[in-house]
Amino acid sequence: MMQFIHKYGSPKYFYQWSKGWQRWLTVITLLLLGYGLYQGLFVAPTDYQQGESYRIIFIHVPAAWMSMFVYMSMAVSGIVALVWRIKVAEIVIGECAVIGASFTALALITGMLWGKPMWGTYWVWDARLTSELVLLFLYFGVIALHSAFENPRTGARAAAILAIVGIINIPIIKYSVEWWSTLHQPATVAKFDKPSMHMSMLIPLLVMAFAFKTYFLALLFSRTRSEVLAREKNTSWVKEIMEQES
Amino acid sequence: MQLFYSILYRDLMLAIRRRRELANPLVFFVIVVSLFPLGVSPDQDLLSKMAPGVIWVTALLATLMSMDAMFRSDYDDGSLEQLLLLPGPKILLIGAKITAHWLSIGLPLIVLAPIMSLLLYFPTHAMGSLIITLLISTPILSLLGSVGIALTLSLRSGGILSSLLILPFYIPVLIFSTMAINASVNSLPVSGYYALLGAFLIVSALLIPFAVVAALKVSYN
Amino acid sequence: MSAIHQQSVIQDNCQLVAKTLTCERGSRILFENLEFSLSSGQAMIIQGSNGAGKTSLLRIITGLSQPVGGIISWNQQNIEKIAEEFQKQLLYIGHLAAVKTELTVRENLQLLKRFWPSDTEGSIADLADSIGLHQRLSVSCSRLSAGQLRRVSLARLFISTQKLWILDEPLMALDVDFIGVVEKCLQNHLKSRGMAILTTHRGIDLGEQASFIFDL
Repeated sequence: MMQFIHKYGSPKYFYQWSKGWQRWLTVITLLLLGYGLYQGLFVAPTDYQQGESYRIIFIHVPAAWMSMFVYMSMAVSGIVALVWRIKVAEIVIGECAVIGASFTALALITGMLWGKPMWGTYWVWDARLTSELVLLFLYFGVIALHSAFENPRTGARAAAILAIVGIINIPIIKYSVEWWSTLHQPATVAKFDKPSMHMSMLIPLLVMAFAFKTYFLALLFSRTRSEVLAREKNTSWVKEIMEQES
Repeated sequence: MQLFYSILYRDLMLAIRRRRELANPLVFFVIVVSLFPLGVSPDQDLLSKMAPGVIWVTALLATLMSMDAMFRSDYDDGSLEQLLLLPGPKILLIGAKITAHWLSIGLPLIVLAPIMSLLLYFPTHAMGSLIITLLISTPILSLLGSVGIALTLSLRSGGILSSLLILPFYIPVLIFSTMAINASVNSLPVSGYYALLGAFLIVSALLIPFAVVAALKVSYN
Repeated sequence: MSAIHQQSVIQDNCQLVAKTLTCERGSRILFENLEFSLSSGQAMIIQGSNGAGKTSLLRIITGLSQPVGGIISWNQQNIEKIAEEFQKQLLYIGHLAAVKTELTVRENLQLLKRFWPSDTEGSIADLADSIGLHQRLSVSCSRLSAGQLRRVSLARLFISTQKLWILDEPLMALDVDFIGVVEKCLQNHLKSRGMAILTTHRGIDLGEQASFIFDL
């Protein structure tokens, strides 16, 4: 197990094996995105209550799912970085923070755009939007801490600890926000809970969710690979690659 | 345990010597609370409705301001590295420092908050819940804050950064505490909220010191 | 040979060994594959230009920071594994005085004795006497000079029961008289089978005690 992690986590070996993965993930992402968007925007039927505006869920919901998933990935790579001191895992933390914050911001913006026709205002202190907002704050914290250190390795380790403390806190925060909003929410505000979703809407939604996952991985690989090159620029293997490329 | 008491004794002795510095967050608390009627309106109904939130948000900020005192001066003059080299579990060392911080900031806040709440026309029949939530929750603030401070110790502008890191973690404390007080104002049952806050306190007290030890290690590398 | 007997031999004859130590600062490598070994009764004096990593090395030996690579072992055991046992044998005095300026000299010395208990039955007054500050016991440390602060932080040397002393520039800011006192103290420590690792910009006189210079 240890050997396995160290082998696949060594910068040089990572750079080699991730190349093929990155390429294939990019291809899969493009295919899934194309299919999902076409099905979601053109084929899926119009919602009888919300009209066409509901179609933003094909972006909003996967982005909201990803915001949590990326935080989990960040915390897991944080544990790997702290326990086994894997350089690549340290880089992954920083990249996850940036990507995750973007997904969270996307979920918030699309949520607000959706809210305008739904609620008549851009912002409602609804439990999900509020949780997303808090999650964005948590991401800001990780990014700020990560970039505050001159030594990127120290920054990564500090960010890892924060991410791990965050992962324990997130369920508590989510729970408290949900409880808070059920007590405060006036009954006039509509809730989204839709127990049954039509298959023609559900399938594009799941395809989009999958596309977002592969997109995240492809982006993560690409960003991590270039950061690995930048960090290891003084080593012989990077110099070799540079010579081959030029 | 000897180590725990020795550190607690040391930190409290230092706190007493530094009492003027320690009073600053408390004065801040008093001033900020009295700014709200000036900024919003002196309307009695409105202020008494806002009172739990105002008191709690200001208490969070005052605690954050005082957080630096926990490790900063010990880090700057080299005492902290000596304390970390003491043989014995580091958890006890961290626990003692957090306890000392709570005694020197959390406890005075618990005394001040009820007095300040009167300025906001907070109903006196709910005063008990205000004090109880402060009693359970201010230790959580000290605990969570210590992680932020420990992580940013080696940075020059650590103070403001650590506030950014910590404030989101304070959200559950804020929500549960103000909800408990509001329930009590409306004569609704409150013991459920106390139980939740208590559980949060216990979990934080068990887990946070480990995170602080790890964070200090990072700061010293 | 019985295990107990072996134990007592080790206790009397301690050994600190560093193997393939590597230390980075930022992306720059400070030193690589550093090796040394130190036994009871020996002193190691680390020399090197500014920024060579003297302080970093000392901090790694104390366990306060971790090397990028390599191990330090105390009596054949990795110091990270036996941290508590190792810390019992360790006295580290760094650049920073670790003296609380809000407290008086007496209070600072009391704290020292509280945290690092010693066998010697000396009083605070005796301790103040050995650092030459007996007349300033009730003075707040914020009113001491740099050299006097240094003396307070070096007070631990006079009550130490620890085997391994790690001193970062112990003679900095001291006057000639007290430098002599510290040297004498170090010599006694080595004579009684103690060990010391120190950095110093000026020479230090360790008498007939075994010492070697380590260039970084």
